Amino acid sequence: MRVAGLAARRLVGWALRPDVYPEPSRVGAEQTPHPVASRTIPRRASSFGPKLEEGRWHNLGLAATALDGVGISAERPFSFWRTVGRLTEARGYREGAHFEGGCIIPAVGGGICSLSDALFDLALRSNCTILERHGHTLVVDRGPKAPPRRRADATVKWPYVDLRFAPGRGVLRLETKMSSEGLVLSLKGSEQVEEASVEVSEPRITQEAGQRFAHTTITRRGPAHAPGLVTIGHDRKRVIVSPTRNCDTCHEDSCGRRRTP
Amino acid sequence: MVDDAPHEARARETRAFVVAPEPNDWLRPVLDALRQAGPVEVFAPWVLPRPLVPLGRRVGFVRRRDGDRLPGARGRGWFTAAELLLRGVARGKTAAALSNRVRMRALVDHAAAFRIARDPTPSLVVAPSLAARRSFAAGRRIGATCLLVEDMPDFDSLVDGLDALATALPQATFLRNHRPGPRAHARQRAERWQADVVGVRGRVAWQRIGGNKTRVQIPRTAFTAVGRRGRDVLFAGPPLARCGSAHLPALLNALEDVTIRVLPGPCSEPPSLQNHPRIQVHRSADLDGIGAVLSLSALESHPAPVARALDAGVPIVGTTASTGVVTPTSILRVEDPTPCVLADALRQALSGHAPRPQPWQAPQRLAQYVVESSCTLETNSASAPSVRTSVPTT
Repeated sequence: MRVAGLAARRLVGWALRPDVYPEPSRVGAEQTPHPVASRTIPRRASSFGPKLEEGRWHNLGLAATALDGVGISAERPFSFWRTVGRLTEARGYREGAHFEGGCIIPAVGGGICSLSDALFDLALRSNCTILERHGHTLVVDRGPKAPPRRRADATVKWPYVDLRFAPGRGVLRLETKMSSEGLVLSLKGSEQVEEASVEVSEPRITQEAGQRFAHTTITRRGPAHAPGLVTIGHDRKRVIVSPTRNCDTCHEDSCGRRRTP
Repeated sequence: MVDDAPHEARARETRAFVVAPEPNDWLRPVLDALRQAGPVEVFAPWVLPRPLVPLGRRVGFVRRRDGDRLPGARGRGWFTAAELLLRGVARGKTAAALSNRVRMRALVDHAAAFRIARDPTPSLVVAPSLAARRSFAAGRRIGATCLLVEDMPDFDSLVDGLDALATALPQATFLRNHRPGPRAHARQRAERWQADVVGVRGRVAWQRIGGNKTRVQIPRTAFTAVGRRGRDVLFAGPPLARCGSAHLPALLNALEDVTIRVLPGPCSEPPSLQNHPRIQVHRSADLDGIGAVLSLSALESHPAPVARALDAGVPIVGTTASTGVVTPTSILRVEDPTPCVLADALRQALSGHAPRPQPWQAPQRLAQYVVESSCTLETNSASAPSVRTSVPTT
């Protein structure tokens, strides 16, 4: 009920407050000649299984088609869900890997968080103001051999868990390109923007009610003309062991989430 | 006991499902190509019932008169009502008419997807640009191959070209108003991502679209009417700045013995063209009395006079983008149309020394693809999951 209320409130906000949640607009490449920041989501082998991995890449490519050429300015902030739209099977999205309760389950539009992670990273590095961002609630403990991933992340859930950001001045243009290496996202600006550096603190582990939680802080060091350290957000994530099974290989039915991909 | 026999019989029966959101020149030749591989069903809600065809001709639905002969096509009253409503809202404005076209295509896409989900038998779903997203998603669920017909210009290139033209011609207000919405851009790109095969009309589109997909050339209906050759020049497309009509006044000054015919349209740019003594409106579909066709749009446009000139052997003077269905060496190309260059090219064309325009041939054509891939389509159809639920008999 609470989720439905939040979703309804956000949808009403879209309809009644176009100044806060504007429709996405398109900007021509000639208006934004200066490269600002770039990020590649690499193709690599995953433990999700080939079907879910294929679905994930299909979803990433399909969502990226909605992002290409989108203009972002202070008057027209970027909103992930206003731009990409709902991830439904009827709109061509497939089942991809989705974390839920410590399991990898197939879900339509699964894997799209890679895109929101990359967009959040781009926004931080291009000195954008973060208007709305939500961190993931789970983090995977990869064991002592694998180094912990310290990266800025952002999760999305339609329509009320959104990623929104806007540049302080000028216009940014988001460009996407699918290549054999992966999905390349880049921001170009109407004026030169010095890239900021982003730091994620070493996770501090606490024990609460028998579960482990990792606490991190995301900070951004400003450009040379304003070299302050700005705290972007604090995250508190439940630590789970790395899932080695998904619905392809797990035969547990009592979880209630099991679906055959 | 399960009762899947009727479903399997139908699966063998229906092979191609064609979404036709509006009457279009690609429809007939595409159907001819698809029939070589098997039966075809067309989803065309704009079709008028046969008794209403004469009435439809009177009230302006001229393009719909052949629809009742399409295989499996059946008119829908709700569609006609929606179309009439949107026409009334648009009130003849060009930008609103384009928005309506996009909306109607999306509406047909929704209805076609519902139809595919209800009767999941096709092994090939053919849908045109902006009417394919949901149909392809529904087709994908039943394991069908998805073929996209690119019958609209590439919106990204179109808008970039319009922006450049608007900067060069600030007085042409039309160039700033005529824009598809950002969601239409996204939809067009998404459909290309979803498609297995992309069908394009000409060489320019072939170079721009779907490089990592299987691509085929969409056939077009040949123009058969032949008229007598003359010394008039036909300007391809309406006399608007986006079609290059801004060059016409200087060209008329450079060529004092030539009359230029323009197609009828709601207005002309520049407005002085309307009163020029050597500008005539060409209301006929044939090329009677035409000595050369001039196609100056910097955008991908493929105007109908270019295709007719191609079939009739009338010389073509034009840019690469607008004459993109023609082999570039067989036309008189003018990428930077200054009056001198244009006048020289037209004099050469009218004197009979211009090369005969030749159609561009893609490496693979639709008919060839359909015949060669028919075995693959059969396999896909056989492996498609059965969507209908089996009902145990008692």
